[in-house]
Amino acid sequence: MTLETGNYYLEHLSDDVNSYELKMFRVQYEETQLTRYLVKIAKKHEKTMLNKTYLVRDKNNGNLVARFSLKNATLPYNDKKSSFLIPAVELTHFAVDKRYKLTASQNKTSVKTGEFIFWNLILPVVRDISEKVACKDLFIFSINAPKLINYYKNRLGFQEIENIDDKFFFEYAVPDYDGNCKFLYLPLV
Amino acid sequence: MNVTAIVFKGKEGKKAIKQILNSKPVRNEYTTTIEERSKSYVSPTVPAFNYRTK
Repeated sequence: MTLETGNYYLEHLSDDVNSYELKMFRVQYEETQLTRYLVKIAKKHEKTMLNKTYLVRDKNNGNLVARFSLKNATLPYNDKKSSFLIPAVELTHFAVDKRYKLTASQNKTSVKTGEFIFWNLILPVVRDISEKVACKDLFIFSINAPKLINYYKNRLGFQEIENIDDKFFFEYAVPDYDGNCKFLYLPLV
Repeated sequence: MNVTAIVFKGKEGKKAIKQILNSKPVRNEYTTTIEERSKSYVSPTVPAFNYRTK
């Protein structure tokens, strides 16, 4: 699936991608583990189909603008009386290079770069998957920074579980980039 | 480690997963206008990164 929009296009991570280029990606938060993942692990996961990593590039100069990974997952409920699974896709390691953060026109309703990429490049991939394979939600473990959480909720349409503290209802092995991460989900239908 | 295996559990887990099952896409001033707003998105002008020369 080739996807492009505006000045950007998607490329799969492959062995041809220069590791130094991946290392020089400038994250916006202190996400050293995200960079570590991209440089050290992502190619292995790509080969073994444990995660699929996409690079977003600038058509004008090939710059690496953003990256993200997608993998199939389930949201399982399990107790003594019943169990069921919600099919889903997990978005991991989504980050935009700092240098692409600022856009020319910045007002309240201006589309931010990450927002543009999410709606016009990431979601089309997820929707394409969901047309072929049952998939109810997209979910993410976000770094637990209030500003970032609000961004995911307001701008990207993610939701959090309301009125219940995470630790009371689920167990999970935390992502490597943040032990205090926040579970957010986005219904696809 | 890069594992995100989740298990919803107990009464609270059931409530939580029901929220997910019954939820609908968010409709707000941003999500309902994204298509229109995307048309006016202008990518930042960033010079070519020169790490390929390394």
